[in-house]
Amino acid sequence: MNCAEFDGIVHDLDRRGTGGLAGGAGPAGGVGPTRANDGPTGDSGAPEGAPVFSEAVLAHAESCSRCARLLTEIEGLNFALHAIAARDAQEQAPVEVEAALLQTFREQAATRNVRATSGWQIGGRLRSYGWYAAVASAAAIVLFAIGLMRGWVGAPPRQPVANPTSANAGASTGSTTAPISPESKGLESGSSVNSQSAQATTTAAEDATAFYALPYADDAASIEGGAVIRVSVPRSALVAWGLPVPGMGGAQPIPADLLVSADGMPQAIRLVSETNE
Amino acid sequence: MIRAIRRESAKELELTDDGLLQRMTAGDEDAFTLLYRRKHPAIYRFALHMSGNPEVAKDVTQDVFMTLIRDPGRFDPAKGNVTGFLFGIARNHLRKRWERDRRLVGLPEGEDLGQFESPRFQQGNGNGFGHASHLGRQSAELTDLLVSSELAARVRQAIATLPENYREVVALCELEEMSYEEAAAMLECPVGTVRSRLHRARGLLVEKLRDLQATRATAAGE
Repeated sequence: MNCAEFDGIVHDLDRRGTGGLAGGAGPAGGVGPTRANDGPTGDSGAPEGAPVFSEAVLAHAESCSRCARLLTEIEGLNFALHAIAARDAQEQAPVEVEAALLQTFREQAATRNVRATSGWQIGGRLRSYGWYAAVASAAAIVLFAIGLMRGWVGAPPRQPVANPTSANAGASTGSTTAPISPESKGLESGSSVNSQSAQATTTAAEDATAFYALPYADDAASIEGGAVIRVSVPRSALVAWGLPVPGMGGAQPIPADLLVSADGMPQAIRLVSETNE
Repeated sequence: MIRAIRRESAKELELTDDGLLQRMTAGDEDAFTLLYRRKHPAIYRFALHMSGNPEVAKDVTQDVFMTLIRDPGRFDPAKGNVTGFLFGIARNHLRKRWERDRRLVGLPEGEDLGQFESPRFQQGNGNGFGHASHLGRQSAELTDLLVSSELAARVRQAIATLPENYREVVALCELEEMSYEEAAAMLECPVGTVRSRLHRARGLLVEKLRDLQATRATAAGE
């Protein structure tokens, strides 16, 4: 071994998972140093983890003062590094780091849950709105189709009928669907729809037309149960149904009472107008 | 009771890093705690050895796991293991910190390094090299000295003056006692690169320590 070879190998250590220097030979067969790892003192008597140099290295160091000095320095460095590693082996981040991280983790998890929940809720709402829109669209299409078939669309508007509270007039001119009152629909007998309550919904400050049977309404005699619901109807819908629209050209929806049968199907409608009296 | 504890311990041991990361990503706090406790000491020590500053090491460790919490999807098993992923984050955070701070822990010029004094260094003047048994006895004494004195701090400071690439391999191979392969995986470079860098780094350390010893001798009027 010469000094160049000595310089080339003196820093190299056999390490776990490597073949080590010079084909993986250890202290016996190789030239490079390795670490004692056969117990507290190892076979060589060196402390665990301490480098053990091969005979070739030691022999060259014995014959070369320069390399002996280098070897001594490297030995000191090895021990210093080993001491630092041993001292730092138990070093850990302070406990507060774990606490802070756990806090962040919880917040992050909560944020993710809120996002997931919000997404589900928004999705649910959108789904609900979608259902409403689909049902409304389908109803409008059906009504429009029926209106077309019966010639309601484009027909002259029906004449307003007197308030059923004032008259049960069934007179209707030029209309295929006569304005009716709940009484005329036969609801006065055997029907759970309380016409009185329906009428009661039209207070003294309101004026209401008679009920107009909607195109697809069932036979009045067959209506069992039901309710009167106050709704706001777009004017365009009333026009499509061929109903009289007061104050044409207005943009506001018109309040109306919808007579709904027990199965949820609208049967008749009447327009309600508020009076100042 | 003991059996139950052992079963629990065995169950924990069976949990791989990848498995823990998946559970953590799904919101399992226990998995995160276990993964943190398993991985953070090495990350902390690496940052400590790289920076020489416990506060920096603490901050970097926290930043590494904060990153893991906020964006666990960045981990790609095809590119390496969880440990390598965490070390990569730690290296990035350290670099960012250095770019921000623009200061490194330096080895003061001409400072008295009398603590870096050992029988072996004093003896290293020629052919006074002893046998292995003699070395072992003296090494044990030296180790005690190192642990109990400021020598470790001096060497730490010398490490801190190394270029980053060299410092990394010293931290991983010497202080974390990783194999070349493990260090290469952490640093995402070939094994040969790790070996050559370590060789060069150790040479630089010896030179620095030699210079410091010479400076001390000069100051002492020897």
